[in-house]
Amino acid sequence: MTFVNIFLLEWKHFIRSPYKVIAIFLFILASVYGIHNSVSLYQTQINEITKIEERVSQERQEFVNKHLAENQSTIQNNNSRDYTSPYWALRQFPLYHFKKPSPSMVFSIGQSEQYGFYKRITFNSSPYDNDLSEEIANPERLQIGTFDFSFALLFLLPLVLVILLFNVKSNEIEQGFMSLIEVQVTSRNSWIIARVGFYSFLALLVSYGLILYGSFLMTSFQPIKTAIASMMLYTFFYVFFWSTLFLLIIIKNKNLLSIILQMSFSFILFAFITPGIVHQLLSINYPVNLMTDLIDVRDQRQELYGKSHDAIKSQLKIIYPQIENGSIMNDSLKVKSALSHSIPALMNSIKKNNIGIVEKEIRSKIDFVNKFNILNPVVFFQNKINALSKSHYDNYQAYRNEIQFLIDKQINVLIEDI
Amino acid sequence: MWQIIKNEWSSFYRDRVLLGVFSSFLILLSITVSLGSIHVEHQNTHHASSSEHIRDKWENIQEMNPHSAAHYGTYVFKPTTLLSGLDDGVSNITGNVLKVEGHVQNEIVHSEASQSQAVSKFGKLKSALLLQYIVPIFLIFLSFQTINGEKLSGRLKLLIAQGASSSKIIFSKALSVWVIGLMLLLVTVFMYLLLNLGAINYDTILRLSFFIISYSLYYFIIAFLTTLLSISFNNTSTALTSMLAVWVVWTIFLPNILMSTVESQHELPSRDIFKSNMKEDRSKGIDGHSPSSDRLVALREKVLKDYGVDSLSQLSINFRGIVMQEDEEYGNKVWDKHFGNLRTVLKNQKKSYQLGGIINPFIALQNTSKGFAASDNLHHQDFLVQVENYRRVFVRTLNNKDAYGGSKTGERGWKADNAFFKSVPDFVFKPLKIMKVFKDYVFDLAILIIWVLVITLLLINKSKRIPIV
Repeated sequence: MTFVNIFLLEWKHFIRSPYKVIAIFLFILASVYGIHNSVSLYQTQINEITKIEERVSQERQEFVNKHLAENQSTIQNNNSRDYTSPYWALRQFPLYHFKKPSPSMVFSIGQSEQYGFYKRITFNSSPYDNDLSEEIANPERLQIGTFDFSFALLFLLPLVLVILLFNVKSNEIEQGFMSLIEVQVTSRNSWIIARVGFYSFLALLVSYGLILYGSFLMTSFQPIKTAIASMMLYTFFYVFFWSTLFLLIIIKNKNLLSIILQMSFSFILFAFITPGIVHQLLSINYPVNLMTDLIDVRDQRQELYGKSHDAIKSQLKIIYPQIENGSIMNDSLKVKSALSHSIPALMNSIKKNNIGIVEKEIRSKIDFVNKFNILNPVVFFQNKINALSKSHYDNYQAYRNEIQFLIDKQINVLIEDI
Repeated sequence: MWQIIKNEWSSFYRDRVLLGVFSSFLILLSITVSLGSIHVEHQNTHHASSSEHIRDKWENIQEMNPHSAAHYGTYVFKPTTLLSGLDDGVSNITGNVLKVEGHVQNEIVHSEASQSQAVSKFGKLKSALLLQYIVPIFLIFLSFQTINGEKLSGRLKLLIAQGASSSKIIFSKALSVWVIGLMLLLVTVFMYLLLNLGAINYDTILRLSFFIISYSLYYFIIAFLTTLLSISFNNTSTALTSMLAVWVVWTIFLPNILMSTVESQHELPSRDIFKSNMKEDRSKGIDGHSPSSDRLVALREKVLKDYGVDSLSQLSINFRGIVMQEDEEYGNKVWDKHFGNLRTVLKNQKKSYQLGGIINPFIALQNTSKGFAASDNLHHQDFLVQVENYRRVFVRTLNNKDAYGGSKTGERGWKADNAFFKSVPDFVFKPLKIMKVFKDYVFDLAILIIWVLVITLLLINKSKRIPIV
């Protein structure tokens, strides 16, 4: 009997097993629900970004109409406020920076509900400001987690495989036709491998179908072609991991109960216990950071405001030596006000140093978690899928870096004005 | 009946595999309780040192204008409750740092979850993780094994044929499995008490008692439902897979789907809309920094009249402090309205979610577990309210100092001394007493009790109709 014959035979067995068909059907249903949840979150974030962009643009237009149009003076009552200058224009119209969700979010919501995705950028901003916190949500819902496709794939698919595979071999032994099979097939193990292979292939095929379904829901299909390929590859390795594990359990055991027990135990081990242990060890080794390094920045700000203009000037010159030749520096009327306005530039430098301390600790935490990847495959795949969906911690870190870059850019405008 | 239970336990004791699994559970639960206690201890030490650091900063202000001090503010860190060693509920998700300052009620930020990549979907290895997800699976296998073993060996029919009551046999077997679950639960709580003996008080004992009651009710449901399914299906694998499917639907599938549905039914505003609405309402009050509104004029007239003077310069107090406090009072109304609306929506979400317990007792268990462990959203909201109440006292103290502390209107350079800053009280967290919020969990407990009654009746009814031949 060839593999093809066994596959065809197994297909007949599958369609005649209602609970196996129901298991697959429920998995498809759950995955479709998860995919639509992700699409809904994607749309919500896009709509929110559009709304903010429109509001900001409207506010800007209203201000321009009120203060800068109809031949009104560009310089307001206060002489120093010239809104046509880059410094005052930026102060009046703070920019927003967004983390636009990737269409590949359809595969995984990841950590996107734990971080903010829009940020107002001013001279005094920092990537750790309160306005970058996550959207308002019920913490109990966040604790339970949002049902997305990655959840279905990582946690439901292994259970579907348990239902599909638990009676492979034990069924033959209980019904007493294992010897007959051994006569017809080269070996007992080849028969088991072929049967396990069939269900693994079926699970893979269904998952691929769902990946494609999710991809077609996104209007911008083109940019996520690489993500689709990566998603398919990860799915293949994930199904392969569980199938191999379950195959070994089936080969090593004869009894139905011990097969179900071991399959369930391995699921519990990899889905609950190992990630739970790693999480607990992480929390013990790295208690939650209460951000005192960032809080301490306020004392340094207080000190700066108490310093003389000369002291501020000397500190500024160390970071921005170009100010020495600036026109305002030689203007005794404007220099004091310019130096006062420059304090955010010094603060930015201090903040960056302290942020460095916080981010170094977070990096150590991530390294700590990654050390256990070999024992913690579910979380390993979870993070890989989050990364391809651009909803991993690193993607939000990159967003923070972009924010910092924009703050630096604004600060440079401020300095250039000096 | 007692004899059947004793027989069950002795056969369980003789089964090396089951005994091994039971012992592994005991060890794992002990490790979990110890790790949970170590985690709470570490977090508390870190919390204490950080709070001390922040308080030191405040007490070391040598001299500062009180209004500048209101902007400088202080910080409150969310404390770790003792029982979060058993179930840390929403602690991983909620923020931990809250700035207390003038003009604004801030939101809590910097959650643990945001400080790393994804680590585990179902949380840390706390006792709750094992007691909610894993122990029930063990009870499912035990219940299945105890009934199925009897069915396959034909002993069940033999016992019934000999005149034993079928319902008594089935009931005793289910009870014997339930007691095993209960033992694991009690060992966990006993270990926890042993490790935290010095910190246990009356409220903790009450909370632990309710914690035990809710878990024991859930284990009863699991043990009896598996027994019911085991005697209902002729096919052994159908019975087991059905119960495993129930476990998957109850623990993994339904909580997730129901919570998402509830959130879409009672929608929360987006952060941007929430902030914009507050900003708009706030702008209708007195802006302490641009004193030109009608309300401010009216306040000025009132103060001048009260003090019997014609101009602000004649006042013996600093009018700015009064303006700032008036502004705060208005702001407080705005915060109460908007944050109050948020709390109402969250409450409605919780109530709707609790209804899910009717079809899924696991939801009722989760609610009671984190509720009795003081780590659910209700307790989190109480912490936020306590901080906000403190903020109001804190800012009022500073504004009063600004107004009546010795400076006159227009004296911007005036500063309060170090003794004043030392005298401003620090935030003291008062843990919520369980009896104050017990009513919020009555529905969950009632649901669990109803489930127990229904399953018991179904089992009694079914066990009477077991075919002997």
